[in-house]
Amino acid sequence: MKRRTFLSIVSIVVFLSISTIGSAGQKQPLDVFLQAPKSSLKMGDTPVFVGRITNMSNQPLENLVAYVSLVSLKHGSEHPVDLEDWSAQAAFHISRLEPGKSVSHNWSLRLIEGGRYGLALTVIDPSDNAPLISPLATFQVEPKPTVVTGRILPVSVGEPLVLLAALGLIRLRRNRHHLFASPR
Amino acid sequence: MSQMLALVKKECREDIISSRGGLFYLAGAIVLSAFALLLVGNTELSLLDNAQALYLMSGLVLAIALLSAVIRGGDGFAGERDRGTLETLLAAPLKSNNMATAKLTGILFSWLVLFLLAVPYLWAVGSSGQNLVAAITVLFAAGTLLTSIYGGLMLALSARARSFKGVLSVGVAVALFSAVPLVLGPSLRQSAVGHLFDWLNPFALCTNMIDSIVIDSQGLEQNWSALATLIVYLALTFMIMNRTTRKVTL
Amino acid sequence: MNAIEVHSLSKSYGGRRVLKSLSMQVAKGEIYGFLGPNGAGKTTTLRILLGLLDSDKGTVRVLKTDPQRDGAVLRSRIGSLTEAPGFYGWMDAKENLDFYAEICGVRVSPTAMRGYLEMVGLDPQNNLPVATFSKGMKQRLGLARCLVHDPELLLLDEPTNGLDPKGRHEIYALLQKLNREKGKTIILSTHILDDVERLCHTIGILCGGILQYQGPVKEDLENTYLRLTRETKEHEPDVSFG
Repeated sequence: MKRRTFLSIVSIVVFLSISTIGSAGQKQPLDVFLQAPKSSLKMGDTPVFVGRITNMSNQPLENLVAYVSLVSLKHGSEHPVDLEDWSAQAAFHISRLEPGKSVSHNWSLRLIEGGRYGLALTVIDPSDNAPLISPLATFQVEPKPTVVTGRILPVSVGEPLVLLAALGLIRLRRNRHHLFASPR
Repeated sequence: MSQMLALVKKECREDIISSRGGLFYLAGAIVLSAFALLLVGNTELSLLDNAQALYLMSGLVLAIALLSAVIRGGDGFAGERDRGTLETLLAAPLKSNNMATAKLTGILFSWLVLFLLAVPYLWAVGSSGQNLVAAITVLFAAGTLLTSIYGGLMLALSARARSFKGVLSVGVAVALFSAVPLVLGPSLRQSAVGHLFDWLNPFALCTNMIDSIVIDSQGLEQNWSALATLIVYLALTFMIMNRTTRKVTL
Repeated sequence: MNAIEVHSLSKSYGGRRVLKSLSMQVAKGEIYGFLGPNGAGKTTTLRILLGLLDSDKGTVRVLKTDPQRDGAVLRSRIGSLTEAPGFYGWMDAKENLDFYAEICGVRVSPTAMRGYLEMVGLDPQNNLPVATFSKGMKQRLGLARCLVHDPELLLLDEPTNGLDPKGRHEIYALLQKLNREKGKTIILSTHILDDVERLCHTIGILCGGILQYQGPVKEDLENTYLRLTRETKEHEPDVSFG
């Protein structure tokens, strides 16, 4: 009984050691991290998100491409957001990253709409099949009251037309009898 | 009095019926429409909140009013001289400074029409935010003061000028100079020179007043100094206008 | 009694003396012909009488009123027609007359207004803007305008300018009628000696800033005029003989 227990314990320890060695052998070549700004955010703000990419491998990595993706986390209508109006910055290219070295880059975003969002930093290594994605940097953008589109269009289009019609009517009324009058 | 009213009536009718009057209002409406559409169409401007959008729209209305006062004021006597109608007007049994008052009333009528045209735009831009009623009220007060000041000064100049072109050049230069605060950067505006310019410039006084009431939600009582300065300018304008138009020569 | 009394009137423009000690009298109820070459100072004199210009020296009394001091009040009793009358082109004839009547402080009924237009030979039904009028039509309208407030005194500067001979005849017939039937005093500034001879009771010939002659119409008016204007040698005589 004592011998059986001892053998079980040794097996478990050996098994766990093998697992640890195995996972140590599968370590990510890059560590990707994105830091959201700490202050509260509202519409119109232009906060800066800091991305950090670290080469965790013992080989230099070349021609890395890093870019951010934005997703709306509004409950029930989660969807990706086109960054065209939010950020003018293109992807960031790292020509060579030495082992153990890190590189940081700032992404500035213009918050054009209120809501809850998540920003992720993705790094592509051409020599590797799997892109590496940072943990999601979530943030809340407080909305503010802006111009109501539904009112602008009727007024902007309608008022000049109404004014033109009114002026035309006035002119027509004055000229109407002129068409039938003749100078003596 | 009835004679002055007859001239006021003629000025108001001419403003609406003549092509130049109607076209000016149409151009003003188009400018306001274009700006309103920019407020929703342009990414930068669409981020403005209601109060800021209302302030900018009010500033634009004031700028158009300023231009209108300058052109109509300059045309008051010099334009009549160019068109050959001044002698007939002067030959009427109406004192020339009463004529000037009647013409200034006509200029204020133009402002009233422009203001009424602007109200729907202000409603469209600012109705879902703060201070819409306050904005409309202060815009009317500021525009009336501004139109009276610039219109009166231009009438005084027009009474002495030989032709409308000369008066118009001076008037447009004055209008552009008055609108300089719109293009000065915030740091310059906060400097001593900027503050001095703000106090000497009736247009800047009016826009600052609208800023404080519409955006900062301050009351009129907190703008008493700007209001008092504008009233002083108005009194000076009436004095100058009365003096220079007492005797208008051909 | 004189409607107009002018004593030693002087006026200069930019260093040039246009009127030098002009003295003239116009009796009430007469038609006074005011003659002179171009640049003699006729229009300047009429403007001073209206109170539109200040004189440098001298005294002027029009209907016993000083035009410099009480010009606005005086002008309600004077009808004036300038050499090139200006109108608001966007208004029609009736609107122009209505406006002028209103700023003179008088109410004119539509019937009376039609009467004034017919009196000067214009069609009351014509609603075209005045901008479309010919020079002659504008001249006629100008004459109607100086009558709408029923003035006692008419100052007419070249009233038949732009009119054909028939038109001239009609206007002078109208002036004679206004003078005879309504007792209006008329000062007529003109170059046309023929019409002055026919129409005027008294004439004044202005030349060199001075009234060279004032008195009844002479039989040899043409020669008198030419002699006087030649003698002053300031201007080329500018006279037409009908």
